[in-house]
Amino acid sequence: MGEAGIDAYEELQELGHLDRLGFDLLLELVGQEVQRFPLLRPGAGWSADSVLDWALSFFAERGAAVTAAVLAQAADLASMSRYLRISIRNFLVSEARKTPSGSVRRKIEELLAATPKFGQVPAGHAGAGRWQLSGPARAPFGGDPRSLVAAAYSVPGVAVVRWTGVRRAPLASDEALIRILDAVFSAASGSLEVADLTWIFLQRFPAAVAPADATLDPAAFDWAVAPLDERPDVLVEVGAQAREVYDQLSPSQRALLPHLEKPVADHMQILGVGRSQAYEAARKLKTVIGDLMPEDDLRGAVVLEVVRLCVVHP
Amino acid sequence: MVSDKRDGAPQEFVALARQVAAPQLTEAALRLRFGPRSSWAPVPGQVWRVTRGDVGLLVLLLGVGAGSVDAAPISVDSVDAADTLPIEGGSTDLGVPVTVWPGLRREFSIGVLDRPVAELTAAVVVRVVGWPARSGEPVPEVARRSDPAVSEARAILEDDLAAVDDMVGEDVEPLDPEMTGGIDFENLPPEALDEAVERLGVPLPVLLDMIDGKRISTPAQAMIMREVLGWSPAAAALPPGLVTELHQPRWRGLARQRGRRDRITEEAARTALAYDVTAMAARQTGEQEPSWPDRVRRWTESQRLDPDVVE
Repeated sequence: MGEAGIDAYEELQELGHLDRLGFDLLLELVGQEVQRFPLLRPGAGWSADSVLDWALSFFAERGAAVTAAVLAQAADLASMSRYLRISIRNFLVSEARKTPSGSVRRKIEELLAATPKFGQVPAGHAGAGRWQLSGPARAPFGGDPRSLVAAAYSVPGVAVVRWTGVRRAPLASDEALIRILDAVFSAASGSLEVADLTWIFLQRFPAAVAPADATLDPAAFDWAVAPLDERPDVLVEVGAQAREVYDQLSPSQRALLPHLEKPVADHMQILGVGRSQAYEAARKLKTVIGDLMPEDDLRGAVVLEVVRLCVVHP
Repeated sequence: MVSDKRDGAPQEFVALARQVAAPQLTEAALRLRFGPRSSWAPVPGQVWRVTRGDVGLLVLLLGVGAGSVDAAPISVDSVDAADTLPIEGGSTDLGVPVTVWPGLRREFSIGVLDRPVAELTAAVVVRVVGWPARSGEPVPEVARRSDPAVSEARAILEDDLAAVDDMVGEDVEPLDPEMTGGIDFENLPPEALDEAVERLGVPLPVLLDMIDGKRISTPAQAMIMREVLGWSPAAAALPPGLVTELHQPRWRGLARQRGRRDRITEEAARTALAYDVTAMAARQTGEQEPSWPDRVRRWTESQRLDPDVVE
């Protein structure tokens, strides 16, 4: 309650916009939610200033939608808080997935420049400076970029390596990335900006962050984000591939993996979410595991080792 | 009035918050636009707030029946996917882009509707009604993989819809058939009737009418009679027309007031209201039978309750 004896919802109803009490509520919720996003954590840890920065970023991007949505669909402070929390969580997931964009962009630029099969549209042609398959100048791609994400996914045999953990592993092998660029340019039948390619690659290789990370039980979360090197049960050298796969999983995916074959009701309990969100999380984890595991005789052993790494949680 | 003091809120935030204000969506503005609660009648094309507990969402009404509505959920964002219909901000009363999800269209109990907040054009309703049915088929894998944020948004919406759907069918608690039988007056301790009168808070003639079935008993009253007298009359089934009427959103404020007063859930409060109105209707004999809406209004007036009170 505020000094005037009203809460943030009543303040919003009175003014038609968030104000002092709304800001306090927003700051409180952002402060709680950022704790579940290690990818966003500043080097020196979370501070009042860094939480404030995220609160302002959130409101700058989504303030209009959030104001209208809370007024339209929330009936009291509890439903306002719930809506704000989910919106903040979605925003942070989105931001966490953007973090490697600089690295991805640099990698793409490096590959484009070093690979003869790609070239830039020459000056004097439409889309000069964009990239394309080598040959006659092509018109800029004007279609739906999501169709190009599907093309990126269609390239077989690409091990997904995500941008998480202390080690910033490459996306995949250079050879695999070149094959994906080739497939994307072929599907586009035109030229593309590096920014377009970066967006497509970030959809194809999303950072290891899942919405359920924020609803996971606190003890399981702490375990799942602890660096593997510091865990007492990991004294012996683990298989490099298993370790690499483990590194690419988000905290909630690590918690879920040992229980993946159990009924969805168990997934709901583990993740602290509803049925559809649990189903979505399990579906995504199965896809990720399928992509990450090697297609060779070691697959079974790697799967077992990854599950073991995940199952030793309290 | 809200204090002007803004110790914690940076001016940058306050300025932005004012820029994105939505005064057309405050309760006061919506009351001016849609009238008092007791006058609300859902019609296709309206966007309604649906609430249960702390879950709130928006739905676009596509069809309205006596006790249910056909509706598609709306999210306040812009999602362009195979099963969504994004709508520009300028074309709705909400003032921001919204997305209708025809693929998640379903039937709701009319009792989950909370208040109207906007209207969409007939053209949008026609498009959503004519949306190709998915027949329960999952969204294609490529579509899911190409945009995880859409899949996640869809899953959150589905879970909210499921939470609201759970409300249906919880309203009326039927009495246990074993509660019926008869009172053994010969072996009934004399003080039992006194205790029943005291606990029920009714005079003895009323209690006897209840035992004889001349006066309706609520489940709570039946429970007391069973405890004290060893038997209770079967509570008469509530008239379906009244149950349907009390699910109309125009009476939802009454159920909430009753729920807060008695510290019971909104669903239980609605059941209690139904028994109260039925009891009053049973006493009103010899006159032309009024409609259920009129009976609810009469009962509301007799109790000096205001269905339009701002909560």
